[in-house]
Amino acid sequence: MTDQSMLSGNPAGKSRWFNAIDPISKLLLILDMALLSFASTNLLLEAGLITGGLLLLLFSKVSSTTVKALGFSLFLIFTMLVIQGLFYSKNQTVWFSIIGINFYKEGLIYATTLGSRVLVIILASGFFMVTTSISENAKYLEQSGLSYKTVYVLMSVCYILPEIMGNMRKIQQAQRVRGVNPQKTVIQKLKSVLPVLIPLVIKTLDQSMTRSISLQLRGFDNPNRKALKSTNRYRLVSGLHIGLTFAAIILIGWKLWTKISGLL
Amino acid sequence: MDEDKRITLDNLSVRYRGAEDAQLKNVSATASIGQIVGIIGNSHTGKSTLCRVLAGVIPNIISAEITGSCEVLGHSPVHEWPNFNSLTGVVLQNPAGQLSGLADTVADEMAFDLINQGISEDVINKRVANVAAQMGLTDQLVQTPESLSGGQMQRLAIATAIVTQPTILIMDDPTSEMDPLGRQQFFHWLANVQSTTVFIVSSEIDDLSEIADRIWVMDDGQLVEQGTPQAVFNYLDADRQIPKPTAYQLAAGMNWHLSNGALPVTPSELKEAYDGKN
Repeated sequence: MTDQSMLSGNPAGKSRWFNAIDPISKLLLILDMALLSFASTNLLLEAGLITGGLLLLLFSKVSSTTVKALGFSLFLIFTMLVIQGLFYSKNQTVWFSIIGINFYKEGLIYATTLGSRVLVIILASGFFMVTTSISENAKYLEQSGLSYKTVYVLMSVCYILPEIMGNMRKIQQAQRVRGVNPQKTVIQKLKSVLPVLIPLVIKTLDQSMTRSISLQLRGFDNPNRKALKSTNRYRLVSGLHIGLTFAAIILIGWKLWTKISGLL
Repeated sequence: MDEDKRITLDNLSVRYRGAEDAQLKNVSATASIGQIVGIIGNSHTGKSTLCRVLAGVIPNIISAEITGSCEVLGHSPVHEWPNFNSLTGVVLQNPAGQLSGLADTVADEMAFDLINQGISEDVINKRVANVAAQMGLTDQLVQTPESLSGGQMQRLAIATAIVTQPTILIMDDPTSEMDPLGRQQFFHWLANVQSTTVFIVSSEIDDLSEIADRIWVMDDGQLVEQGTPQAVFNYLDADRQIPKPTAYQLAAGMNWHLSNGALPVTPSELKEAYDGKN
């Protein structure tokens, strides 16, 4: 076992297509898809972007977290559709009625556009999240020249959210076991969250402090630290960076131009 | 004995900022290099605070008022922390809190400390494999740390502390989540540790009596007893409400004494007392 590296700093085999894309390119892809979505109100384009995002997810990995995030955002989008369909300030044309309640075309199109943008961002971010581990990001950033301390601070933001959610699950599970709150409906679930918010935050902060102590004891800011050299598994890094950055600049420029020309 | 071969606490008192009472009160103790010091006591008696001072966490990471002195093998954890830290391995009370959070695998987690020290990858691989074998984690090396059970997580925390081959090992209740077999294996491993001075907080009195060279008893922030396990448990005040080793309780019930008149505290001493009686 000692003859070959057992550390994932030097990954061997088991590489899929998305492992060849570096984290920065994936982040730029999120930016480009979001910009493209915001640059137009064409619903066909939005549908295309959503399809693209879905395909990216389906051909990579679909995790339960992504499905939950999608489910939650679809619930939000549905409420947006109802609210805007009924109350959007520019509503004029009745599209359809349900039990005598009129839903307007303008509001529904507006809500669909907004909802599509949310979905595009969630799908693109979901692709990034399921295909890039926190440690991969950390290693990549460290190898790009950032100090490990800075990398850790950046990555701990990604780390703290799952930690809060994990703590919340444990607390809610304990509540259910004790029969404090059956949490069968959404209202009951929301009610169960409110009283534990402060202890939840305190517990998470306490865990962060323990981790900070441990990291200092383990010498994470040691000046002798040398990141393991990993074989470069990323492909077309420069090309992707340049292409995606260029696309982002074009999209921002185009959006600005349309705004400015609209003012003139 | 040379100062660099001793652990000396002299009138050590610690009070956390904002706290009314001191958590450690005039603690004075000694131990020698290579010894295993078992620290026992009931809850909130200052055991973890003592570990924090010995590891240099207080006052270097957690702020507190310290009076008196603490010298460990010629180093002061209070005043020479960066150098001292490179000599120590620390196992915290909560094993999950000890993990970096940025490791994909158990092997990566173990390697973290070594990477921080700038050690070459070949050496890291050898050390990780060696420590994993010692802690019974070889089959888990490619698993994620989060997938481990509580006991395995604790063994991983110990592995991360010993992988740097520390001179001083400080462990705060390292077996609290282990099953009986895991605990037995851990104490068997600890009994065979060499060239390392060990401070271990534990409530496993039987195991500590067998492996510890010295026992320190904490009560209300004070070190109320210190000495060999036999001496400590034979003279420990019953009012302290600290359980005695099973061998001691059995021997007391049967009135089996050692040749020196003391009651035995380990199975081997119990056998000796039994043989002496018959």
